[in-house]
Amino acid sequence: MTASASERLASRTILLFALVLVITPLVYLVGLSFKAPEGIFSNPIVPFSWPLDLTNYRSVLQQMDVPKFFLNSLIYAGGVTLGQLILAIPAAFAFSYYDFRFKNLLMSIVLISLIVPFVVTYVPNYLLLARWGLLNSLAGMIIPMLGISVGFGIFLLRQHFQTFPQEVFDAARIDGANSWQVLWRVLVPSSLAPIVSVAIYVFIITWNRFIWPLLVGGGDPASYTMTVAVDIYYANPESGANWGNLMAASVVSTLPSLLLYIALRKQILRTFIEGAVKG
Amino acid sequence: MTAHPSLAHRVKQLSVAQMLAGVGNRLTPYLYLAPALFFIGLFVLWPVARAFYNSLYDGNLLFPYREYVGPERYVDLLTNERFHQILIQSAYYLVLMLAGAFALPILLAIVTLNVTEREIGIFQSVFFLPTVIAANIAVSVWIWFYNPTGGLFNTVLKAFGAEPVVWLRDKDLVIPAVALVAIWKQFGFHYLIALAGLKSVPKDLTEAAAVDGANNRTITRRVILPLFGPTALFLLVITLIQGLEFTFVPIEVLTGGGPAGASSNLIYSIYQEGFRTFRVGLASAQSVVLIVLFGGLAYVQYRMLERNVQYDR
Amino acid sequence: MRRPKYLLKFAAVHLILALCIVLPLGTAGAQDPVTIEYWNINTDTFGGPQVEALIASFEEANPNINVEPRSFSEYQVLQQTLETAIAGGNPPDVVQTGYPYLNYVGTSLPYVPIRELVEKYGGEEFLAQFPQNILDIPVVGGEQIGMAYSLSVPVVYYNADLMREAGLDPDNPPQTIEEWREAGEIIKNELGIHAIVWGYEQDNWTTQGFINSAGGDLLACVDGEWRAVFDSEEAINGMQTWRDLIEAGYSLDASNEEARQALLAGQTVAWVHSIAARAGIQRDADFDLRATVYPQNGDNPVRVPGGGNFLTIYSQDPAKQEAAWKFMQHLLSPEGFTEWTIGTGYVPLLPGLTEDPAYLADFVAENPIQQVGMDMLEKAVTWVSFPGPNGLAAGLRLHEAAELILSGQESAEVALQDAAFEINDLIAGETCSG
Repeated sequence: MTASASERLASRTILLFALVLVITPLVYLVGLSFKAPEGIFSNPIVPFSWPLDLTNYRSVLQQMDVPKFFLNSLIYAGGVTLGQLILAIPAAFAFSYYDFRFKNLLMSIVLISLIVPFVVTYVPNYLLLARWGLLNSLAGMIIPMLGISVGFGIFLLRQHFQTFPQEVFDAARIDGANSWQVLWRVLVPSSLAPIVSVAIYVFIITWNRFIWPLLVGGGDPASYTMTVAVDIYYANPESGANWGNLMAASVVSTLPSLLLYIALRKQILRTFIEGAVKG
Repeated sequence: MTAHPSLAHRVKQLSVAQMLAGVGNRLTPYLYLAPALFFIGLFVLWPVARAFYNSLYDGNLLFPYREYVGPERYVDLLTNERFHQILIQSAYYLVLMLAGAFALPILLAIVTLNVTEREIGIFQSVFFLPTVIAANIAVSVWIWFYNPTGGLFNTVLKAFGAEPVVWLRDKDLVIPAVALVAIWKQFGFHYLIALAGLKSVPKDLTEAAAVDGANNRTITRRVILPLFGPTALFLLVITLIQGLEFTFVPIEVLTGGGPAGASSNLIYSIYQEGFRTFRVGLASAQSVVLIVLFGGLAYVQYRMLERNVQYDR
Repeated sequence: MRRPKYLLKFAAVHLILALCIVLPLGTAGAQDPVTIEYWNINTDTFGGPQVEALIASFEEANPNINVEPRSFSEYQVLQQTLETAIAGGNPPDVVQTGYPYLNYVGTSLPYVPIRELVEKYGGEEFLAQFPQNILDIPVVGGEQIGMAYSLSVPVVYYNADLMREAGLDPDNPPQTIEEWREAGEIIKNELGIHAIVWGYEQDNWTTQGFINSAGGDLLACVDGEWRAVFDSEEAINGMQTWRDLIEAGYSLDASNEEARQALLAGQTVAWVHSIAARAGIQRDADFDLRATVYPQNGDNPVRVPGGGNFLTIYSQDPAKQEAAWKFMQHLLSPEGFTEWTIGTGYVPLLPGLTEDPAYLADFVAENPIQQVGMDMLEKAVTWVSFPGPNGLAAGLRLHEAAELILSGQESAEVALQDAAFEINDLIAGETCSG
């Protein structure tokens, strides 16, 4: 579809305008982290100060055990992602490959699990973990979250699996494969792209969560994730928030998702969206 | 282009294949579903059941069954003026979310079709950035923007000679102000989905229309938009069902529900009653209302999507 | 047959004797280390290092007690986590409880009363050091549920440089509302900024200051039941004063954080806030920062709520209870208070510490802002918390009324009357004693 030159110009302008709007807050986020503490209040409008001041970063790296928290975030996000795949792939397979009596009902249940607001699920799950002695542990953080978020993975993967050509399935069956082999030897290898995209998306979302990890792991610094640490260390209203440190800590804790996104951008965008589109 | 086999067709093939292969295990799909359903049941459905039960009682976390209230709880709730106000505000939020996180991304995506591939790549990447960042972090910068004395917005207004506005304390402005932040955070994600949906329309169809003499506008209207239907539906549903959740962190960080509850909505109210004032019974009742309202919506969405998958244009 | 029997008896007697010696030795003293949790709202920049220092000195003196601190960003998060922890069967030991939660905790949570701790583990001499009004602060329904610990009072921090610039004398700052109004007019004309800003949050601390200092009260015990009484003329006047200051442009409708930023950015000359913020604001201010007393409203004596927290114990296990009680006494010792005041700004509760050169005399001499806090101490009253299971919701209603008044949406009279009506409904049936 070709557009006229004037249409193109107009479009570009609109988009650029929107771009600036979207990116301004982020510019401030990064800029403030590089400002010396006094500079933050004396000149709030200008986001950057020159030269870039690393005081905030130095304090943050000194005060926070960044490697430990980073590792915790990694294990937590990675654990949830892996667990989700293990649960969601077979489930999506079941919904797309088979037809069975309670299919609609069960699918509805899966969907309903997505609507239930976190306020309803968090506290009862916390109490369960307390009874099992899993508080302040990464395992405790991971396990209930699997139940809470697996519906999303099931839904998306089902959309993708449904488009898998039936002929290939049949060929495999005729060759004597049972369903387990069909799933793991035929479907999954050819669906790597959407699976990976779902994995990446889940990873990023989980990495960014902070209410749940705070509730479960906030009791012991050994189980803080990055987002939890940023909140506990720097967001204290009673004494007045230390803005520069908060921004610097924020940047540090966001960096991994950001880098992941930048590196695997095309992959994420392309196949993940296709799942939504086909749906 | 692979055709999308219709469900009936597939079922027929399946039974044939099964008969051929001699496999007749009816339980298999259930077995595959079992692990996921177990987790969902234990960690989601059970709390929901608890919420239904707790809503009939008055108590806090430690003594949730201190006093029995019964179904009267719902009568009180649904006739409560404050609750009506919360529902109205929730609807207001959803309308704004529809405008900014549904209509706007689609419009912008349509506009984007006019630019080159490389430029599209840049726009996509940048727009998605706010979504990638953790919510409490992304929103904290907006506290600066809305600050009544030294914040960016008011300083700009002052520069133009206008009166500074107390964005977050004006009951008429606060919901749009908060919704703006929620939209900003989700916009990129929805934009990407919309764009991909638009671009997935097969080139041969648009080219054929062009050859037939249709101009861009007509092509957009007659060819692309109809095929864009399923994606649009998907976006609509996400925006409606998760719309309130998107606003949660902005409300919590920016206004705490204020001023005088003017920026609160159903999800925030549940949080407030459950986590701040510890009125667990009331929070549970509100949760039930939310689940019922949005459960219905989700089910409708599911049936419509199911139907759409069968379309083979 | 005889020999083995005799041997058996011999062995049995010796065994019993041995047990009599060994068992008491084994159980007495409980040589296994006890670990207790200390929940607080202190961070690296606000009391955190002091918490660590205090824990270190305690552990040194008590080698078989281990203290694990746990930090929260605010009281509300702490309380919420506390409740879930108790419900999960895992209560912490020593907890900093914000005063707004006093009544809620006293009526709804399983704390260990001080009386019980003293009965089981002693400590009468320790308690005797404190003035009775301090011991009475965390009392609910006649029971002392904890020990007052971090006590803060509001002071007026001000920018001496800006004051000078406006032509006012920074050594003689305004002392009454009326004087601040006059100064406000001058400041508005000369500098175009605000004069004095009170920030407020959902805890009603600032609101109570205005109402009390205008001669009103929030709660009163009427015929054995708690009733909201802030719809009185005095209380209405107090809130109206606040609103008028905002309307005149001398003050701002702001949260604590916004007000603090305004002070640091030179948008206001003065900020009224807790002395506990002293350390933080001294660190961040790049101007001549001073402090003075809370302004008087007309002829009414200044009465302000004491902010901060008190310490409560929740442990059920006797060994932990004892350890927790010991730790609490350590925090409340002269050394403990000295460390605490220097690092935060909270005023020490043991009489005489600020005059004693061995403790805080020098610090206070060098830090006049801290002295202002001490001066305000006698004007402190209990921070009101609403009773009963709906107590916290009641507090929220009052906060909403304040929001309506300060934004100009409703008059003080209407807002306070509506709120009093609703709150009396929420706290109906809560009994009090005289």
